[in-house]
Amino acid sequence: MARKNYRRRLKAPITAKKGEIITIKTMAEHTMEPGVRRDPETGLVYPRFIIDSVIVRYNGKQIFRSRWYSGVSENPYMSFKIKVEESGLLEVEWIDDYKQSTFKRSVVNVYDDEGNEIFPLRFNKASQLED
Amino acid sequence: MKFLLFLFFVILGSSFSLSSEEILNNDYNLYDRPYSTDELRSGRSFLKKETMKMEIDDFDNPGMIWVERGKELFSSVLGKNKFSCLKCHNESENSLIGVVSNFPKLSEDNMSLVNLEQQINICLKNNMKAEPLVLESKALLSLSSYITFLSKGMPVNVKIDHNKEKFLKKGKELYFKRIGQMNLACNQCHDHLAGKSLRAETISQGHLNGFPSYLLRWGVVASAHRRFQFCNDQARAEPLEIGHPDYNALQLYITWRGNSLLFESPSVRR
Amino acid sequence: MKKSNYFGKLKNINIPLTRRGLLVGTLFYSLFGITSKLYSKGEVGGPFRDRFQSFRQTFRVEPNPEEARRIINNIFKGRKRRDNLITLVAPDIAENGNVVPINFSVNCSMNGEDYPEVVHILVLDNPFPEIAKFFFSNESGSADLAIRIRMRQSSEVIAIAEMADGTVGEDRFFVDVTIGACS
Repeated sequence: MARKNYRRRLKAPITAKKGEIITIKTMAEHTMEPGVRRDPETGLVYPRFIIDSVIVRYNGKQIFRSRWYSGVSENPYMSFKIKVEESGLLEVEWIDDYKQSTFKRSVVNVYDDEGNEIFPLRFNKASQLED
Repeated sequence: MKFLLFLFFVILGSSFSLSSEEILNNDYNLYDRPYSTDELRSGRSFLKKETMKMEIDDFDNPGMIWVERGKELFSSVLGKNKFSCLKCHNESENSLIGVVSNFPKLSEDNMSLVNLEQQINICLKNNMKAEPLVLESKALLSLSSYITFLSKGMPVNVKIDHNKEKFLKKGKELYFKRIGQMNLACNQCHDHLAGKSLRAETISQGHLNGFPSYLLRWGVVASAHRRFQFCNDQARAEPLEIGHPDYNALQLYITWRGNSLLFESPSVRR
Repeated sequence: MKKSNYFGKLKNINIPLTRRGLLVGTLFYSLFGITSKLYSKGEVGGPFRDRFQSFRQTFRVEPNPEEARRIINNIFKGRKRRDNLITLVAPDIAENGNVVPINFSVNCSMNGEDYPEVVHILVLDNPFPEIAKFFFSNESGSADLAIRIRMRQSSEVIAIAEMADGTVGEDRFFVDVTIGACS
């Protein structure tokens, strides 16, 4: 059944130029219970259940981290900017109070001025055939 | 002397029933609209500009989460008959685009009104042999907001024919009826005082073209019936249950009252 | 009573080598270890923070703006202030206290040591004044962010940016949160 209640959304551009600063928007579906609300009939406090931290990685390397407390509104929306130098996989991880994580990924293709794509390849000395 | 006193009290008593409520005299026109087509303003124009930005952009709008979930549910197998809604309602036949204007519509035996959520439950029970979903649950609201999203941008066009007329009359009576401890009727604020402010909020014209909409006070998508319950709560009246026939009649009248506005669901309202 | 050699610096504590003694001893040692780990940078402030948001804290707390000002002074103590470092944009009147969209941007070059290490967002009259913290690095193109927060009553929203070279900058904005029409 496709009825999951923890949707995560991510909007990132598909293509970019080298060195360009791109805007990324994220939204999570989460009730973000602050831990101070009470049930009107029984008086019991609804326990705290929020998303704790958001980690953004590009090609596996962490470039942005954020910590949230109970003041962030529900179905939290966050939009930030990053600078891209090479094509890669952008991954956003939401970690909540109970240390469960959810992920959402998207690919960004980065081109330089001539229109060639810049791939995230690194060559080390041992693999060079010449020299 | 006693007879004169008796006459006095009879006249006093009868004058109460002759007091000027707008609907009790029988020569009002049922099809009178409070706003002409030029004066109609959707609820979006009464929002502050940050909330309007939240509603216009498809990504920033939190109600789109429900629309996406509704789209997935629409194409997934839901009942014992092992097919999804797409088997009958796909692009080539029985497309559901523009179908929201027909709701609330008459039930099969022409005895009561049925709104979009109740119709989804009827389809689930009869055609797909699934258990009907709980009214005002996330799954049902996702499906109904997806179906309303398909008609986004089309004008509201509720047609009243001969059979629906008595429900429109009942809805109009409920709209003009004073309820609750505060003794307020809907028309007093939403017909005469729209645009003026009430405790730092502007009174809107009270249209339903954005429902089922994401309400900021609860953080979920709510249907029109839940919004009516909240209105009743605020006037300190006893709220009816969701799916009550009175609320269906009221929904018919209010949707008809906003004919020629565009559908905006899922909208963001307070 | 034998003196155990396990707890080097805590010489005055005599822990008997019974099952009970060892249990109590490990409890003591683990408590010391956990609290010292929590005082690492950016997670929990110094001993003045008697109101840090613990993992499962669920009782009702009243807002205390004095406490919030103490938190702000702790971030600022001994550091040099820089003007016009951070710009905070928020609505004048919030539509609903549940969802208040705010937007901040730090004007700096993001090269070398000139990037904001931590940006705090605080609301003075909330029961828990800290809203969020953002950690930037050299690779993030610009420190420009939008988020939606909750506010309980009309109060000031404060954004504080701590740069990597030790300077701090702040910006304040007063947001009105009103009771709606019928409610």
